Amino acid sequence: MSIALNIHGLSVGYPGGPDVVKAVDLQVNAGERLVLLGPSGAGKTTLLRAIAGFERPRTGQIRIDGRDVAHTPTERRGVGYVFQTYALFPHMSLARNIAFGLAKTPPAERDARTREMLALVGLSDFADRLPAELSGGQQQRVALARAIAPRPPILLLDEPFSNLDAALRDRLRGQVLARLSVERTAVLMVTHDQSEALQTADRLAVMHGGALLRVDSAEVIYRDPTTAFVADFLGGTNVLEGLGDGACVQTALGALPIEASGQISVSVRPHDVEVVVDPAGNATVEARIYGGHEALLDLQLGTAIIRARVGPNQSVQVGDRVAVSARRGTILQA
Amino acid sequence: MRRPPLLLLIPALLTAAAVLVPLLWLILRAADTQGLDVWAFISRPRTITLLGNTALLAGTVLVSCTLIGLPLAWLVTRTTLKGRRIATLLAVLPLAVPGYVMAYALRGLGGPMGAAHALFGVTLPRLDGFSGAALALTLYNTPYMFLTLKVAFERLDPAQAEAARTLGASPSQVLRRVVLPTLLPAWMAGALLIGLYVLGDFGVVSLMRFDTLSLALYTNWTDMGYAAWLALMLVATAGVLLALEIWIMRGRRQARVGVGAARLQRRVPLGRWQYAAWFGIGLFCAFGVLAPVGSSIWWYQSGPEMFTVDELWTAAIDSLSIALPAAALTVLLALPLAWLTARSVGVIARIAERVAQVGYAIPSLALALALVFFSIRVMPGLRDGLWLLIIAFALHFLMLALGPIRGTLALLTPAHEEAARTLGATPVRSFIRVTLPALRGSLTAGFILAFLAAMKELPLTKILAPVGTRPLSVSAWSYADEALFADAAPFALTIVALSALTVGFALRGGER
Repeated sequence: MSIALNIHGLSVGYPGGPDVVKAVDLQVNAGERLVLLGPSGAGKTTLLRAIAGFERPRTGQIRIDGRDVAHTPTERRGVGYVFQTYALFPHMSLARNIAFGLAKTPPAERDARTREMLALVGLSDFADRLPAELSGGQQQRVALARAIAPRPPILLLDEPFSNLDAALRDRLRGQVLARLSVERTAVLMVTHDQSEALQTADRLAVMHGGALLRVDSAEVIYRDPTTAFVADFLGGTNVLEGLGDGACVQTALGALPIEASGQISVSVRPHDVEVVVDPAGNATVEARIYGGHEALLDLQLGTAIIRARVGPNQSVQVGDRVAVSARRGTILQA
Repeated sequence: MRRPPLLLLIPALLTAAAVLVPLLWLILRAADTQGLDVWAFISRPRTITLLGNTALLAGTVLVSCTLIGLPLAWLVTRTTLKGRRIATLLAVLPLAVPGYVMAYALRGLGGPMGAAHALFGVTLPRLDGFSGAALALTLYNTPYMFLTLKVAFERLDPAQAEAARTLGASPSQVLRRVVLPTLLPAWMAGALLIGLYVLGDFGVVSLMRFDTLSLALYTNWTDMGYAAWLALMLVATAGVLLALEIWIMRGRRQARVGVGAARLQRRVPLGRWQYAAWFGIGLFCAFGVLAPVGSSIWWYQSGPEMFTVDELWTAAIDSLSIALPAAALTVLLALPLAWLTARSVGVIARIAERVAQVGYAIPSLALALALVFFSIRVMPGLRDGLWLLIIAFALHFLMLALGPIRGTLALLTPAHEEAARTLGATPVRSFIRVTLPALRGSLTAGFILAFLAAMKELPLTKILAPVGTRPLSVSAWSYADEALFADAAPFALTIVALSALTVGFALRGGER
C-alpha cells in the first residue's frame, strides 16, 4: 500500500509564539480516511494548513506521494482543501468554480470532468448559477467537487460539515465519503465532533495541546483510551482510583479483572456501570437526564459522583437507592 | 411581510414625485422647443466635442483614481506598512479640499505670479484645461475609490486565495483570477460615485476652462430651450452610467459567499519597499492637501484687494441658513425611505432605493435647471426665498443620509418592534419608543453628512440661491473665477476647515 501523506517531526508556530503543532508524526495511506479529532485550539487546523503550505513549519518533513514538499509552494503540492467557509469564488459560476483547478487539462476533458463532478454532487442543473444563489449545503457540495476535481493524492477537509444542520450533515457525509472511496483519494479530515469522527474514520488521530496523543482505529481507541483525556473526550468516562494485587484491581465500583499491582487509575465507561434498584444499595440517584433510547444517571457514591448510562426499560428515579458496580474497566496511564 | 404603513408610504411617494416631476418638466420644456432640429443639434460638431470632452475627462479621472487608490488600499490593508492608520488618514485627507477649491489653489500655484514662484522660486506651468481639470478631479475623488476598495480588501475571505492556490494557481494568477474580480463590485460602486461626480462637476471645469457638457450648460443658461437639451443630454449620460453599473452587476451580490468567520490574512512583508510606499503616500498628500492649502495661505497673506471680515461673516451666515434646514429636510425625507428599503420587500423597496439614487445621480446643474423650469411654471414664488435651494439639496443629498439610517434599521430586526407590540404598544408608539431612539446616532450622522455636503456644494447654490445671497462656496468660486486669488483665499480656507470634519466621518464610516 502506498503512502499518500507522510509527516515526520513536524512543528508549527506563529511568529513570536510557542509551537502550536508539536513534533507530529503521521501517515495517511492511499485511499484511507484519517480523522483528526480534538477540542478547539488543539492545533488541528494549523496542522492541516501546514500540510497545504499556508503555514511554514519550524521543523519537520512533509511528503506527499513520496515527494518532499516542505519548500514547495501550495499550488505545486497537489493537495485538495475544503474550507470551513467553503471559499467559493463569488464571481464565477459553479462550473467555472469546479473547472478552476483543471487549468492544465485539455478543454474537452476539463468539460467532461466538470460535468462529472456536478453530477456527483447532484448539481448538474445549477452549472451556470453563481454561488450566492445556492443554499449552504449546496455550496458545501460545490466546494467539495472543486477540491476533488483535479484528483489530488490527498484531500484535506477542515470541519467541512460543521456549518450544516444535523440531518443534512449525515446524508452529505455519507454521499461524499462513498465517492471519495471510489476515487481512492486519501482523506485527512479535521473535526471536533466525536460521533462524526467515530462514524467516519478508518483510523482516528486524537490531538490535544498541539501533540498527537493516539493514532489507531476508532474502535481500539474507544475500547482502550489509555489516558484520562482521551477517555473523557471520546465518549466520557468515570476515572477511579484502585489498588491492584496482580490479578484484580479493587475500586469503589468493586473488583475489576485487571492484571496490575499497586495504586492505579481506571476508566469505567458510563455504559459499563451496572445499576440495580436496591433499598440496601451503596449509592443514591442524584440526577437523571432522559434521552429517549437511554438515560444518563448521576449517582452519589460516598463522596464521588459516578455517571451511568442505562437502557430505556430500566425505571430508575431521582432519589432511588441503587446498587452500583462496574462490568468492565481499562487502565489509564498516569 | 406586512404592507408598509400609509404613514411612511405617503412621504416616500411625495419624495419620489419631487425627484421625478422636475425631470418630467425638463423633458416637456425640451420637447416644447420650436425651431430647433433635435437631430441636427445632437449631431453637430460642437455637441460631439462636448460629449467627447466629458467622456474623456470622466474616463481619465476614473483610471487615475484607480491607479492611485488601488495600491493605497492594498498597502494599508494587506502589507506590513508602518503607520497604517496615519497612511489611511493621509489618503482620505484630500476629501477636505472640494474640487473647485482644489482647482482654484492649483491654478494659483503655477505661473510667474503663482505661489510656487514666490515661495520656492520655481515657476510651475500654469495648470489649465484638460490636464488641470483631470488633476484637480483626480486628487479630490481618489479618497472615494480608496475607501471603497479598502473596505472590500478587508472583507475578502483569505480562504478564497488559499483555495485557488490549492487548485494550482500561482500568486499572480490568484490576483488576476480571484482577488481582482472579487473587488469588482466595490470598484463599480466607487467608479459610479466618481463618474457621477465628474459629470455633475461645474466648479473645476469652469475654473480650468475645460469645455464639458456641464460647463456648456452653465454658459448657455439663459437660452432655455438649448439649455434644456444640454441638461437632458447630461441626465442621459448619467443614466447610461447607472444602467451600465446595473447591467454589469446584475446577479452579482456583494455578500461574501459561505459562512463562518474568515481567518485573518497574513500581511505581505514590505521590507525596504516601506520607504518607496511612504514616498508615494507623501507625494499624493503633497499634491492633494499641502499644495492647495499652502497655495491658499500664501495668497491670503499676499493681501486681498476687496475682502473684508464682514463679508466672510455674511457668507458664513448665508451658508448656515441654507445648510441647516437643508440637512434637517434631508433626514426627514430619508427616514421613511430608509424604513421602506430596509423593511419591505419587492418593488416598493427597490423603488424607494432608486428614488434616492436618482436624486443623487441627476447632475446638479440639470437638477437646478429642472427645478427652475418647474418653479417658473408651477410655483413662481418659490425662487425668491431659499426654499427651492433647500429642496434641491434635500433631493440631491438624500442618498448620503439614507446610508447610515438604513444600516442601523437593518440591524434593528422587526422583532424589536414586534416585541413592543406584544407588550401593548401601538405601531406609532412602538416606532417612537423603540425604533426612533435606536436611530438617534445614525440620524445625527445623516444630518451632519448632509450639512457638510450642503456647506461646500457649488453648482446648485450658484444657480438657485436668490439674488443677494452669497454663501461661502459661491464667494470662493466667484473670486477665483475673476482671478482674484487673494480674495478667494479666506473663503476657500474656511471651506477646507469645515470639510476636514467630513474626513473624520468618512474615516469612521470606512472603519465600521
